[in-house]
Amino acid sequence: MKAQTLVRAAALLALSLPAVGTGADPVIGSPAPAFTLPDTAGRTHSLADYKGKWVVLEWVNYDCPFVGKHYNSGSMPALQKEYTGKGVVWLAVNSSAPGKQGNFTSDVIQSRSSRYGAAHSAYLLDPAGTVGRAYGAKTTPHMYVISPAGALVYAGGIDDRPTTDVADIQGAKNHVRAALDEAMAGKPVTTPVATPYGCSVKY
Amino acid sequence: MKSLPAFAAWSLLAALPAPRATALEASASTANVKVRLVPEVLSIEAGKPFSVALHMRMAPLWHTYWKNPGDSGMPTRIVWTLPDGFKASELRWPIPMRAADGGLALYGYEHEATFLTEITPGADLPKGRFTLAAKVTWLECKDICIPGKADLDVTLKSAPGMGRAALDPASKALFAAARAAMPRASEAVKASHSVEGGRLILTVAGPPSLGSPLEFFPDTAGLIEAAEPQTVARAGTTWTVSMKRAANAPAPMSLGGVLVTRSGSRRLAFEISAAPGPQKKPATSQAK
Repeated sequence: MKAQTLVRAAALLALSLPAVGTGADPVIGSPAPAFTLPDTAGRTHSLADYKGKWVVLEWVNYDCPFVGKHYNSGSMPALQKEYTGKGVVWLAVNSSAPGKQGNFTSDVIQSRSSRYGAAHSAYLLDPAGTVGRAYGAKTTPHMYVISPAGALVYAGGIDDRPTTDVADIQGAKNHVRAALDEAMAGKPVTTPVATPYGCSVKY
Repeated sequence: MKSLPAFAAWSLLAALPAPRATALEASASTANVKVRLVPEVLSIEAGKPFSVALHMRMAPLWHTYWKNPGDSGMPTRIVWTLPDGFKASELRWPIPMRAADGGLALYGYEHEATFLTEITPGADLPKGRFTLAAKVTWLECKDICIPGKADLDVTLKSAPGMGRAALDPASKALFAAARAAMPRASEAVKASHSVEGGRLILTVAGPPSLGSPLEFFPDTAGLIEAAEPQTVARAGTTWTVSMKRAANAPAPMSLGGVLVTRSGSRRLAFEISAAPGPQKKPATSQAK
């Protein structure tokens, strides 16, 4: 009865949308998928442009409450600031489809980014979801760390407290910080994979 | 307050779209979800466990999440504050459903769901009133997600011998339905798992009520691609469920979850705890 509504909805949607993760999602230690995307200022960015640098990819949707937790608290902007200050290239990626939550005009994104004090290197627009699917990005936030050689060294959640509560940031283990600190010091990453948490990416 | 008023109250309740609140229960609402905390007993006794239900009613098309929310989302959670000496069990989750979400999949609940907790009072329980307080948090989603929370509490009297006799019919029906919607723990279910390349294989022997369709819901996130179809095969009374492993997923030591099937129009599920089994050789090499 009620179960059927969901099952039917699932069947219909499954026909119209390819499953995220259907393809060969990037594997830790393997080359991160190449991409070229425009940012909110109209400049294009290719992963290949950043060969030789540490790169962070952050899937973002400013209206998602899990993203809100990390922006309203200032913790994500602070992390961006700290690591871009160390030469890391931090690319926020928005894969919200047109008409879906989080798909804003560049003007709105820029004004909200500045209101949050966001310190990403660029905010990339992926409304077709191509890059999101290539990475198997499932949630906002969903984080990836890429080595100067272009290999994926971390994929997963921002931290180990899968909630929307700002109070949970204190005392959480930030996986991205840990991965960057270890990898940039030439050490193996202790936790190269962690379950991502958040809203679904609005493909 | 014996049979006549009780019957009148029941017929009135039966005519209402939603169960009427009992005197003891607590409730709260957000824009899309109504939560109720309902004790199964009217009074409690030292050391005697009883159940408390958390009932969630979702607005049409809104959903909340299972303990493994799937590709996104957040499990509903209860944090109990109990009198000294009281203990709460882990939350018991009804059979979840899978729904597509833009190429992703979620595990959760639509319409309504009832979760059960077993509370055990201490062995030494003085006469008096005892308050059980539940801090409930969840995520309600329909295209967008909104965090929800409620502080609910119920107060029960300790009174030896009162038992559950006086429970009202609406609450009785709620608990009966809640238990019917729970996965079953069955010793007849023997399960093992193995990793074969990009697939996670669950092998289950018995029980006879297993049938088609069959779907496995792992209780840990990140092991499988939840949106990918599972392949089910049967050989006698042994079923195998093959699932696409998530990229970078660890090979699990023990694989827990629920195996969901259908019996007529009813969904039926078994709790699974699968130990690692022998790695299967490809069928061709076995044949020679």
